[in-house]
Amino acid sequence: MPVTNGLPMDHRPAVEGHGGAVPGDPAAERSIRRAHWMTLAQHGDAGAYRALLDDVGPVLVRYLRRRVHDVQDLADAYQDTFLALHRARHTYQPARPLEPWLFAIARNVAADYGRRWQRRRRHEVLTDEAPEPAPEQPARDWGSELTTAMRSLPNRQREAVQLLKVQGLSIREAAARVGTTPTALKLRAHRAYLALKTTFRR
Amino acid sequence: MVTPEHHVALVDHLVEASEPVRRIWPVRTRMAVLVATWSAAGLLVAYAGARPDLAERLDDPTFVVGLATLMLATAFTAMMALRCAVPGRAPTRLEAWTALGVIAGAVMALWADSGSKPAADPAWHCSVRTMAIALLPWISLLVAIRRGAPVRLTSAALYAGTAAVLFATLVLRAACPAHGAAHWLAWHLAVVPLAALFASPLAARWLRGWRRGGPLAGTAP
Repeated sequence: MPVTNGLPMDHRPAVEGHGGAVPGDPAAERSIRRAHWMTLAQHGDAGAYRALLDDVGPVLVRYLRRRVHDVQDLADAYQDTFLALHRARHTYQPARPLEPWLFAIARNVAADYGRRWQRRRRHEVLTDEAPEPAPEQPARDWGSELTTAMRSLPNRQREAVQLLKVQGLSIREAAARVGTTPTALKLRAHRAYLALKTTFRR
Repeated sequence: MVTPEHHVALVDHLVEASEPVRRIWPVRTRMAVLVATWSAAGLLVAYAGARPDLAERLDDPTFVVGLATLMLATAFTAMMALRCAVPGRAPTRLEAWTALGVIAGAVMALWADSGSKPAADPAWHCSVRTMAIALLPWISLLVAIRRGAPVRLTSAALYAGTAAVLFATLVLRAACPAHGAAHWLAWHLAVVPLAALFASPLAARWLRGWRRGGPLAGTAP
């Protein structure tokens, strides 16, 4: 049985409805394969979903690179595209090709970043002179600041950071230790990181 | 820069959060349900407050053509609104112009059906009724759109608002006894651009929520 990315390819969707795809044409085959993976992913097939995301990743990078001007924004745009794809996956109709659906999402994310970039550019002022170095600040006691910031976190968030960053447990291990799901633990840790970031920015 | 590690972490995160999803109905099915619901509601409202000369007016071909074009414009804009909910299916520029053409056709049909009254007497209550009748269809359409993934928010909001007001105008054609075209243009259809101007930004802001909601909110690695 032919296998692609660890997935059997024997249940392919019909070629009809995929933009008049011709069997044997590599691009058409790829499109049908992606549509098939997405259909399986809609039914909760994690392997097919991973295969699809791995397959479209490089395509999306190329697509976004042409549209997102700021290199720093590219990684964020890529992540946002994947998140939008994830949240929109219930809208994909298997009878249609995946690419127009996918690129409409990517185009929209890229347009958002384009608008942000334009807004930022309007407020930036280019100058020939280097800015004055900031006057020396008294050294901060990072250790005690971190301890205080950690103390100010809610118990569950502090526990998540301690397990993941101090004890070095994996997400799965840490989740098992506190009796929750890995996603919930990630969420707690993410909120804790945001809170710590805000504290240290002050 | 997108690094392979970044990609792997992102994919791991999404795969871990993946679960079976209930696919939304195809646009045609959603449209059929919408037409059925709106028709039932519209008939109910029109029946409850039908104009006294409705039977007589239904014998007038100009009036019937006006109703038919208004119906077509309502259905077309509602269909475009529903298509905005599916990435890659948003109306093309040609379809947007077609929608405008159909709406213009409906307005012209109303104009052709102009009665004896030359000017529009103040009839604020008609505008208020139009907006009141449009409210529920507008909300139902917005909810239907947000259940999808509207990537073109402004278009979706504009089409939804227009479809709802056109629907209200259609219902009131069977209920409002006023006869002049000027009345219909000034006190019923004028609500369309007003709704587009004021309600659409609000609707677009609310529709944006589809990208923030769900179990992944704020959990990106």
